[in-house]
Amino acid sequence: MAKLTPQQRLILTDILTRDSNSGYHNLVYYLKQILSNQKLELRDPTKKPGDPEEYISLTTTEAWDEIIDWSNKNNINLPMGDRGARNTRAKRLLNYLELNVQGKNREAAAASLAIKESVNQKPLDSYHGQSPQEVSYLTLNQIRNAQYEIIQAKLLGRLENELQKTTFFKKLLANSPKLPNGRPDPRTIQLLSGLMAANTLNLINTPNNKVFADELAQTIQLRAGDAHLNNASRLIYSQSAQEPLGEIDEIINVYNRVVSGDSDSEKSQNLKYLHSLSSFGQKSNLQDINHLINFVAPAASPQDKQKLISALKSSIIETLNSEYVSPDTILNRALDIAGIPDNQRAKIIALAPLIDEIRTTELSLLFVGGLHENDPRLLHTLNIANDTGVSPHIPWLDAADLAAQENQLKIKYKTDNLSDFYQKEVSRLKTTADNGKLVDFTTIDEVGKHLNNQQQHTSYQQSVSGNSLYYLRDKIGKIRGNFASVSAPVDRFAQKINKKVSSVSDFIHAPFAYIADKWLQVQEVAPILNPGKFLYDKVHSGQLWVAARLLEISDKLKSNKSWYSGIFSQVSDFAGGFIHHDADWSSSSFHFIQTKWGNLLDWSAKKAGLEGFQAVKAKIGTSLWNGFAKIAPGIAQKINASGLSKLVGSFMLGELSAGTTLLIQAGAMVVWEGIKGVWNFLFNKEKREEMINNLPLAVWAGTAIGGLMALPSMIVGGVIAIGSALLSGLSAIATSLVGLFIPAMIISGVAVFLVYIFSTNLQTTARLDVNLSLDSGLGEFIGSILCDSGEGGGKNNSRVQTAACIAEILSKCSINPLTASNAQGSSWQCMLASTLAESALAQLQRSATSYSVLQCVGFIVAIDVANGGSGTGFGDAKTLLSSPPSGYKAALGVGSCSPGDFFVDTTGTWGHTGVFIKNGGATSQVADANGAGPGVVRGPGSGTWLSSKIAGCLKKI
Amino acid sequence: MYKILTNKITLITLGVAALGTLLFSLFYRPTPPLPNLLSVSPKDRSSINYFDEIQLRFDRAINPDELVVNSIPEEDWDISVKPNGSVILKSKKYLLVNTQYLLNISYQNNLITSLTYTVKPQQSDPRHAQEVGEEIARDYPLAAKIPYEAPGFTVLYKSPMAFEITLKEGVEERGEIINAVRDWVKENGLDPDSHTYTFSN
Repeated sequence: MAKLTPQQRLILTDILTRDSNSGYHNLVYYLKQILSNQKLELRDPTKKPGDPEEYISLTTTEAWDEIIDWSNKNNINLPMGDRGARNTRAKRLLNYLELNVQGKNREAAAASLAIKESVNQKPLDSYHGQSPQEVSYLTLNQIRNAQYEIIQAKLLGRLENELQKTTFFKKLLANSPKLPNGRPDPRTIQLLSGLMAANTLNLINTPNNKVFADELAQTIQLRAGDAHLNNASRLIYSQSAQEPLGEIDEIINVYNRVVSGDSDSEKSQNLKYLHSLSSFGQKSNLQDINHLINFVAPAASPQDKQKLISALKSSIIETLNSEYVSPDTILNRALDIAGIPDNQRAKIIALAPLIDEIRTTELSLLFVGGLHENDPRLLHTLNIANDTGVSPHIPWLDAADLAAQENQLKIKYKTDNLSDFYQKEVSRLKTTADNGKLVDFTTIDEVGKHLNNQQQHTSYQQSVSGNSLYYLRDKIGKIRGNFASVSAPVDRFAQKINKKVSSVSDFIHAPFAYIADKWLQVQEVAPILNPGKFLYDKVHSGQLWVAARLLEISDKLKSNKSWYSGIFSQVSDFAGGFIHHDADWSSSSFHFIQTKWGNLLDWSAKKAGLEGFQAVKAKIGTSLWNGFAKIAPGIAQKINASGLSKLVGSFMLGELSAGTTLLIQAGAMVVWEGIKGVWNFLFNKEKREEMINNLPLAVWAGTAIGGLMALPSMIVGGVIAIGSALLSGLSAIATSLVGLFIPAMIISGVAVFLVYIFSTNLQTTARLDVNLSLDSGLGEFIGSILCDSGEGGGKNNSRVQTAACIAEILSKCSINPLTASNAQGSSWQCMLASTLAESALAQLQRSATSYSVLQCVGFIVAIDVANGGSGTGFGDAKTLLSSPPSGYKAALGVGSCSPGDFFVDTTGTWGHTGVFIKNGGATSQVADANGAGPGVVRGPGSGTWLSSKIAGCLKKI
Repeated sequence: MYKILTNKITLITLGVAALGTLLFSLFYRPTPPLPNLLSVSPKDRSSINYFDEIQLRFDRAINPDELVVNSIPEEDWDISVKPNGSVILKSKKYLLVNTQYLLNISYQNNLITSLTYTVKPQQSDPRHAQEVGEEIARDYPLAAKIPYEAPGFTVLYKSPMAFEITLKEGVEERGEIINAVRDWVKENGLDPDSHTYTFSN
């Protein structure tokens, strides 16, 4: 059996249990490792990064045994098999997971999203029910607010502003107590998140508190014995103020003793009651989003709230069948969709821990929720259930079944009115005087759930019958769901047959399976018996050994405080990263660049005697910087992270795809450009003088060093291009050694010089993309350096520059004019790979698809969001001056327009708009869309408009 | 029978009748039936874009001179025909957005069909943009290069085909500058006499 300690086993169990919520992505990976006879490495979250024991290593046999053990102990309903060779069983399990779990989940999610896409989405009315959940949520808010009030009085009053308080809470959240499995206690997180939200909004003065003042006293009392609450309070004070913490606990406990005594049974009952309320339960769910949004944005308009609620629900639903997506990402996606400006996001981002919890809850409801386990029908109706404000299983609830259940309950509890019966039971629970009679919580739970289902069922039926959109979606969902349920028995039958066949096969092959397993175990002991893997391991170990020696030497040299210490500090960091990333050159280079990029730029700037990197940019000149800034990180990231590894892989396998070939060509061309630069330097006097004059600045300025980060990729591409035949067999080794060449090049200084030469030839290099196909991996990274238009400097000119970039990139991607079809077609991939901000791309796409062609308004919205604007409040062109969008003010008359302002023509039936570039008297230069033909974008220098038609401009506030 | 056929009067009557039939057949041209409309794209009563073409498919080739298209609101329609019977209608100007159009299509003065289309809404006015573009192309052909800034002066459009030159401080040689601007106009492929030149200061 395996060598795991109980604590380590808990980590594996935790990973696998959580994995069951996300389609067993980890288990699939583990099985693939086992089948390829690779060691399994689990990260121990309790260990710090870099700790020698950070990773738990398991041999394939150990890993398989652990998985079987986990399955047996946790009653996991997966076909693990109990006989047969390990690899046969692992392969069978892998097939099952890929086909029956991941495949069906994907299918169900795709169907669910297809339904959503297939019907015309429109803003839906808010749900205005007064469900028990809603009431309980309000109660929770009161508790949170009351807690906050106490904390405010005792401690936070010392903090000067809201930002400090929020920072404090965030710190506490990061240090919140952990459950035995190492994960944070979700309820503590929930409470702290509530406090953060309350703090952000300063809710203590809202009228809500006063309205519920009486109930508040009772809820605090009910909650006083709750260990979670007290733990949270303790936590809040433990970091910096021990004494006030005691006071808080004492205040609550004294209050509790005075008002209600301290009977254990009563506390127990109260706690049970609290837990029976959904919002106090262990997990929040999608239903809570309405309340959360109302909670954090009480002053928002109903339309904005609804927009955000819908966007948030959609964003969560979309992640249900994907790998883990961080709550911040989910929130930001939703905020983007809802068009919430950046300056209003902080309040909502504070909900991140709750969003994480909601996602997990929904996953568990969908895939491990007992009755609905792995039932694709649930996903089919998830969207409509959310939009109508009911639980996802309600659309499938049969009225007859509900009536039958009601009858049974009536008979069981001898009552004609279940609602009255429930109310009485609940009030009896709340009455302290009724201590003598213990309440049956099962009764409350059972009847309460039934009443809730009944209410939701009625509400759902009303929504569906009163809204053709819902009706259609309901029908489509049910048709698809019924089809799935019809096909399910067939699937199960097929699986049974397959299982039988497998059993027979296992029996027949049992002796061979035994031998195969033994042979695998022998290989683990004597790896030489598996020469391929043995060689791989040896090379791998060799790389790590070289890196470790380099780390050792460079560590010593960097502490010499000599002129070269700084350089060796970088060498040391890279070598350390190389080891940390397990000799994966691609990822270690990528992370090295990511980490060093900003530091190096500023450091270099200071060396050059300038204030910072911004000053360097100004000094070097916009043209050089524009080209260089785009090419260096673009190539470095994209080739290092994926392109290079793919390239090397292609060489190893002898598969030279079109994309790879282009990549090689690009590498060769980049090297060729460098050679041309050297040639220029040697034989062109004028060029040489120019370079010599600028070299010191360029070397010391971060540009050159930043560019160096891109150099290895370029060099590798070029070298591989030139010597591809020689490298094909040894490319894996070569790439790892190239990683070690970087420091060497830094030391030599030659590389810096080369980079500078690259930079002086950059305009030519950056233009290479024009003649290349964009339908390949190469196209993607080349796309990132597409735009080098524009003019530097000035707040407004950034909008002019963006306009130029949009026009240039659209043309290079061959989709100018931009129409609905090319905004949805394969050409759009080229746009996605460009340097344009994602938010701007989304606006361009949205405008083109909503109106058949890109609109003039869509064009300026894209420019606005690309420059940090919210992109909200932009109506038809004609209305822009009378109702300026968020963040803009109207200035009347063409004389008031400056370059980069958005001009507005109010004549014609609907007007026109674009970016104002220059006043040319009776005509003005502009950049616009849809002004010179359907969807045609004109950049600065090609667009003109009659000045007499320009009624004024929108100026950024 | 023989008697009848050999009767002189009968023969003369038959001859006259045959001659008459021959003459009639030489000069009579029967009115051909109207062409049948097989299909319309986009479909009748659908939404169209302001720049869309309308394609009609007839069962025979159409004579464009005999096809008349009237629309409400009125537009000037380009009609192009193909030998296979297809006809493409395109408004010379962009259609008015968010507007319903009724098209009456007649052939040889007979109404063939009436079609109704609604032009999809936009956030701006393409028809207006088209008119502005036409005006600029006609009256301000060098607008894209304006303002033209030279070392001693700047050139702007003051009105249609009229440049206004602003001299920079200390520059006095007006004659030379006009010649320089005229050369610039010529370099851009236009007759220098097509524009007038005045100074603002």
